[in-house]
Amino acid sequence: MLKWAVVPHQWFEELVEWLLEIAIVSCKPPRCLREGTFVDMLGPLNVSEEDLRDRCRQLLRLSRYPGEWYRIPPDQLLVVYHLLQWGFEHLPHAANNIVQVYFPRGFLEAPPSSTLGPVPSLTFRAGPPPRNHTHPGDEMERCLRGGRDAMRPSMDPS
Amino acid sequence: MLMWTHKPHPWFQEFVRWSLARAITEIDAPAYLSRPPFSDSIGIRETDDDVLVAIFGEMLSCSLMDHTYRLTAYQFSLMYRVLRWSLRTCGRMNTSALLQMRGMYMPGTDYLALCAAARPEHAEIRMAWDPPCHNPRSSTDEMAAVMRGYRSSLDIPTYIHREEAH
Repeated sequence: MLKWAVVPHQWFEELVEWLLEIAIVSCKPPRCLREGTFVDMLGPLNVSEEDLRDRCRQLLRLSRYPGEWYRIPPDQLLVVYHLLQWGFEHLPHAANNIVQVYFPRGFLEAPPSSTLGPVPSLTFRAGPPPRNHTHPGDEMERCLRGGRDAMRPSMDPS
Repeated sequence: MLMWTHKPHPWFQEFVRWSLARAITEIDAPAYLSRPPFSDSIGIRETDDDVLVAIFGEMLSCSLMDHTYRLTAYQFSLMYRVLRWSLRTCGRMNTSALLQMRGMYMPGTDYLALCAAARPEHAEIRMAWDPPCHNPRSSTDEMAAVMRGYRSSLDIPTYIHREEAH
């Protein structure tokens, strides 16, 4: 499991995993559609599609690994942040609400550099994050209020 | 692999697999996002998303196998709609490309009419004993012709144009 700022509720884990799955598929387009890349759509991430795919696969794998918590390096947090922004492009405050709950304090004020280093080859186990005292339904409602309808209707990059 | 009317070139197989994988992922969206059913996105009203994802998963896994598997007419009609959705949602909606893929690789049927009348038959993917017809075109030329819309270089049955015009 990924170590967020607090113990993640299921709705958030589902959202992250789904966005990672989309990214993994989108980062390997067929050769007949090679113009314009998913990375370009994500914004200022200085990374190749192959690297981004590897990063997303690593995050997805660790997020599904039960019983262990894995610290998320700043580079990887930035990837998730960009995926959230892309997913909620039409309602940016939803992405920011989520960041306020689950990302380290101060992330929005001082995000990591958009130039990513090599894909982390080591994963760091960590202790569990602090308990999450917010009710899952309340938390989801507060984060996504108005955001569900604004979520991209498909993976339409246009 | 899947049994197309002609032996598929790798570029087309990649596109088919990618489109099916994207469709499966799309259907897998968290329920609380209350997104419209994928069946609506591709204009299929008689089949639930749960059934669609089972069909897509089966088609995807068969497309990755060495043996050749024959699709039913209904599965072809779903495939046609998934390819259309895939082109549209990746910003490459090009009716000419879709028509050419169809003309090259799919049996000649009125898929839009078929979908309205047919029912899912996802258990009916069968192994085919005969390979698809030889594909005389080079992979590179074929892909360039399809994706750039050089329709004149390939034969597309006229009934397809009529159907798409509706």
